[in-house]
Amino acid sequence: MKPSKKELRLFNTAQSPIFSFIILLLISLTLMGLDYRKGIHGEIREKSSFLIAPLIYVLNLPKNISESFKGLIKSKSQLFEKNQELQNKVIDLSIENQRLGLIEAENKQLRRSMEINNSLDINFINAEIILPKINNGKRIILINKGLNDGIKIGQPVINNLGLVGQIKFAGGTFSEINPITSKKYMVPVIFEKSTDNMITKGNGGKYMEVTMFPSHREVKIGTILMTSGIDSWYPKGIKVGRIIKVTPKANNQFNHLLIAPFTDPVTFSQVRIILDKKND
Amino acid sequence: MTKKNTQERHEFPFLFIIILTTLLFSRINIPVINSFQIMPDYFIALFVSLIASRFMNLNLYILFVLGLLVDLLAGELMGQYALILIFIYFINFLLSKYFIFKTPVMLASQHIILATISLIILLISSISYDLSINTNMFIMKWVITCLVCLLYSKLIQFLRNKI
Repeated sequence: MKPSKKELRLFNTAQSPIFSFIILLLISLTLMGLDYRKGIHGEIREKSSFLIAPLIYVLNLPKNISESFKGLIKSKSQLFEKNQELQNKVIDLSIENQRLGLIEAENKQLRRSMEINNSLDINFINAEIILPKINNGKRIILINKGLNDGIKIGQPVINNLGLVGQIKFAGGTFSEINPITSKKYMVPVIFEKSTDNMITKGNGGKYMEVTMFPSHREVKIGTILMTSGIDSWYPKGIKVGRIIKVTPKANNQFNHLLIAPFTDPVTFSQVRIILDKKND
Repeated sequence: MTKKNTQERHEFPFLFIIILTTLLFSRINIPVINSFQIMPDYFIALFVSLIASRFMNLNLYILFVLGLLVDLLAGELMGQYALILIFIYFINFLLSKYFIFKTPVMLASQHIILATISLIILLISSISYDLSINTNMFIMKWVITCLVCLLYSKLIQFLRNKI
């Protein structure tokens, strides 16, 4: 095919792809807009999670093999020692449980006499954090439980230290957690020893923050923050973090609070997902 | 024509394996790199090398579909990588229309130009709520991505010679 006189063809003799380029550009932009507004990416990913499952299996294979190999070569004395240690732990916990049982009964009685609803009982499921911990340059937390185990998007995730995050994607056999330090994460909280309600959000790094805390309200470094439960999504009283820095804003009407979360995804491997709350 | 088709058929398994390996790489942490923000963008590096070396003569439509696949497997927004890949193709078309890339230095600069433009598009179309850009981190990411891109280019050249 001969080029027309108006068409400039220097070193590339191929036909200009400008028309196809514009059409595909428009389709891409439309898709991006649709995804941003309607979140179609999550839906498609959910339906095609079986494509990623083998990859996750391959990534976790060396770890699983080494763990099963370790289990095989553990000596009898090591197992006996571990068993003894766990038995001691059970005794300690049962003593603690007795004390807590008494406190719980007292608490229930007080709540009844003060006519406050009790919503602390929760149903949960245990899960393990698996590889990969990174996806195309972005940090992710994957767990080995998914839709098949009753996991749903939005469910809170906790561990023994406090709040870990929220389920943001659920596949068939695995789910992804949005950590509390993520910029797309917010949670309503209160101070441990007062009734100041506020909303914290992740700063995308290692911390959380409250950007506008009124300066006339008292706040101390080291104050512990817990979930307030007013959103009816998170149960009340889960530890979130500790205030580590208070910075006055330029107009002196607000303070900026920097909060160090109690949990860090690097330092634990087991989590609990809150399935639903059992109201009394 | 028959020779060209046979070569394309031979190159297809390599393309499949390279994409799978890249998907695996994109989910493995590099021990030396502590920050996630400076991790290289393996997919940009791969497709810049593929398009610049005209591997399998990938056209706009195939790249668009591959971009959607990358979005599905590793992206955060549907259509983002599809947009980047068609941009890489179009810019490469314009570059090769006005310039000839013959020497290794010229080819390296072609790869670097394409990788830079791709990373800028990725930054602009990202849905992170960053109002300020950490320039140092971005430059580090750019340097590492360009290095990975050149490595991919060498690998593709090697595979081509083998085929």
